[in-house]
Amino acid sequence: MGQIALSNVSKAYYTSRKKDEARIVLKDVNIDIEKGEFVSLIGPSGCGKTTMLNLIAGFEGPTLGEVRFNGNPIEGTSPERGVVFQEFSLLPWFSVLSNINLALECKNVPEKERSAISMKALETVGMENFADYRPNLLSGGMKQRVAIARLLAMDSEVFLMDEPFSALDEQTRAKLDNDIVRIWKEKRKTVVFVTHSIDEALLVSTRIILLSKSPGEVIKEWKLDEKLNRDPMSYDMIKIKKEILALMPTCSCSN
Amino acid sequence: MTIRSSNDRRIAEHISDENLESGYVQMSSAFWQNLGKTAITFILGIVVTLLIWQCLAWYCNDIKDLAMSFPTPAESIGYVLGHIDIDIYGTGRNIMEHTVASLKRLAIAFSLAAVVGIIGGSILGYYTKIYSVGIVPVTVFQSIPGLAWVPIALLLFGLGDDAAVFIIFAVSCTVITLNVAGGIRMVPQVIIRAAGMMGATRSIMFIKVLIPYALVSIINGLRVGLGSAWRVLIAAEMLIGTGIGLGSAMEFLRDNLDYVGAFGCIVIICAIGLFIDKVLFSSIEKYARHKLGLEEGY
Ligand SMILES: Nc1ncnc2c1ncn2[C@@H]1O[C@H](COP(=O)(O)OP(=O)(O)OP(=O)(O)O)[C@@H](O)[C@H]1O
Ligand SMILES: [Mg+2]
Repeated sequence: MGQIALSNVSKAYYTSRKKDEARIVLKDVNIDIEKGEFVSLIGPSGCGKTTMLNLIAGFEGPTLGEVRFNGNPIEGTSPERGVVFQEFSLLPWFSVLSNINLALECKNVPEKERSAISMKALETVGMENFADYRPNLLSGGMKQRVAIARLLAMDSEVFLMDEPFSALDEQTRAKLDNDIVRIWKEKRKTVVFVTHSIDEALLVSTRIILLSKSPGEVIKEWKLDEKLNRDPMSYDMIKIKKEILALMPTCSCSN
Repeated sequence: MTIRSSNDRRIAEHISDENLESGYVQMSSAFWQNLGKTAITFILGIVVTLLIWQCLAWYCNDIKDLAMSFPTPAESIGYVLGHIDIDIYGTGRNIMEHTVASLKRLAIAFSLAAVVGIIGGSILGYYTKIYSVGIVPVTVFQSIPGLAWVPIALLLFGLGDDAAVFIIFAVSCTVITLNVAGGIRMVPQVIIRAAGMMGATRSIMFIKVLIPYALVSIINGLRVGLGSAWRVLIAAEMLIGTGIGLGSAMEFLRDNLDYVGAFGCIVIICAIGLFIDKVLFSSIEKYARHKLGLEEGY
């Protein structure tokens, strides 16, 4: 069994307050993620990608099946599994720097060492000049970069990233994609990366998992060797992209 | 023509070719200007209040011709100034002593209520299961009107200081608890999740995440709580024999038909209420709103 293992996982939510109906949003998902893998989840909007990350992070439990981390059922959140949320998740009354320092405080990093670690993480995402800003003075993409810096500073075993770069421009995104790959190569973290962009998934991952439209099931997986040429014009990349496009569900809406 | 806000107008005045180049516009601090503006609107508000009172007095004294004359602002304020160090006849204390006695009761009861309310409210707000049960007694106590606590207080503590303090505590604590719990329950889930995934301990969760986020509600609760505490304090002093305090002074003055004196006490009560609310709570609230990004810019 891998580091993260979803076995026969289904998740359903009530559709109304009367609780007389529930909708299945994840259906019998089996995924086994080895330590050090870089897994991209792709699939149409609403197919359950965020739900899947929530299960792995421990924010919620599965309706059926089991989610395990290092062999043990996940019972709640843990800083071992750090998250970059799809939406804004910084604490608004702290400066950018204090936001990251807080994550280090939670890890019991001595107070004197915190700022240096945080500044280094901010430099990685190009936000070092905004350390004293409060988050609501930043643009959407800048906020997201700070959230990534927070995760880098936390240095979790597993990075769970929910469309971290979708608010960014092409260039910044390309740079951060490269940074993430570089960090991953350095530290060999396990990364679960949700994205809407097939190109991005092809560029960064060692494995791509395609989910169906709601209720989300695994349609197919592709393993990409780390040494594979990631040039988007290369034969391998075009071949996989064509396969994904052919299988990609067209309608993104359920019901 | 384009309508510009006062902020835009002020910045625009200072924009020149040079600073457009650098990206930053420097100007003098607006601190004193802001303070001046606040002070002027505040004074204007007080003037309006006094005018309303003055008009009422004119109407009662010059048109309706009541049996007793209706005290004017000047008379009442004059009475207060005249009794700062002279005893109110028959009570054996001057206005300062009565005021300090009332404030002391308020301070004791209110700080107790604030501590209990903030802690209790936080717990109620964060733990959904406790909330569904705990909110019932809080709501029950909250619906007991201020003076209806008098028999309860007298039963528990008998006549005197403790009974008055208890009533003030009971009235403000419930209000604060409800507001704090409400504020905590409004904290967005993603914020709690973010703190959770960082591994926040319970104390970090409450002190650095939940309470700051709920600060505006908490301040509002304290504000409403203090308002009702102050009101019920005066009433309680009038009913429970505390001997000293603005309420008992007023009760005594009214019994002796000294309406100017009673109005003087009301002036002090209002002035203190206004000070606490406008000077203390408003500025804290403004600061909290600014920190949360609810106020414009900067
Ligand atoms: N707490 C919840 N209660 C009820 N329904 C939910 C809840 N969370 C998610 N859902 C439903 O589950 C489905 C999957 O949601 P999810 O957020 O996982 O989608 P997603 O794949 O992340 O989509 P996107 O790419 O747009 O972010 C959606 O249809 C949504 O309505
Ligand atoms: Mg999502």
